[in-house]
Amino acid sequence: MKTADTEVDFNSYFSPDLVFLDVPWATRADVFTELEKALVAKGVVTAGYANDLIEREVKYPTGLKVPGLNVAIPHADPVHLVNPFIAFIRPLHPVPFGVMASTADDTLEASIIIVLGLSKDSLQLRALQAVIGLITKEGSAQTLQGSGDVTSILDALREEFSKPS
Amino acid sequence: MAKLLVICGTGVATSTVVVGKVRTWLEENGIQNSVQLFQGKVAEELTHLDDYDVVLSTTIVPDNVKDRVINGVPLLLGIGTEAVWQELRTRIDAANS
Repeated sequence: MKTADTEVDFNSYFSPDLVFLDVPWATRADVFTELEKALVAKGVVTAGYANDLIEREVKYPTGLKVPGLNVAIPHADPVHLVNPFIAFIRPLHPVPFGVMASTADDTLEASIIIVLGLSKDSLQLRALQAVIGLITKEGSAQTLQGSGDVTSILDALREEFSKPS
Repeated sequence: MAKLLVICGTGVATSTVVVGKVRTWLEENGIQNSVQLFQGKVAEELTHLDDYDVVLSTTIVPDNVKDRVINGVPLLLGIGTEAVWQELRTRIDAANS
């Protein structure tokens, strides 16, 4: 299938080793620190990325409540980004995140965390639309929270991210 | 003409989605010619909020301007949008009356 110049192929952004299911990461700092280890080992970011995410999340929280699901979509300026990626994290126990556009002390318990490691503005917009499409889709809460295997999570992500904008 | 500002953290992603939804809504209601749309970063716009009749935000704003700002996250997600559209309509009508 031919894609137009403005279309983005997100396929290479996903990989099985960036899907973390039922990991015992208890806090935002744990999540970002452990993720950074994996990303640095893969050569996708350089050291400092976790800190970028932590600081950004304090200033602009990314927690979103949708029916049946609490999600966070952390992202940071691409200072420490080497290659774009999208990581999916499902912590063993939900992790507290600030609620987007709410008050500073308003938090939610995120059961799914989708980290958007993107460089260009246009990609951020496309990725954001795909993430929102995914988390608000009928049946998504069940798939994302209940699925036992990495492949079905990747399939769900790739399907939504391959839709034209 | 009412001036409507949409702000987010970077002025790029979430505000662009919301601007798109607002534009569609204005056209569906036939009031696109009575509203002028603006988009920006929260950090740059906070001191200029009085320049606008309506402000939508997808990010946290300080308490002292909270009353001036409508939470745009329902529009971003497409969930619970009706209350936001009503609030928008009220403020636009007030600005244009």
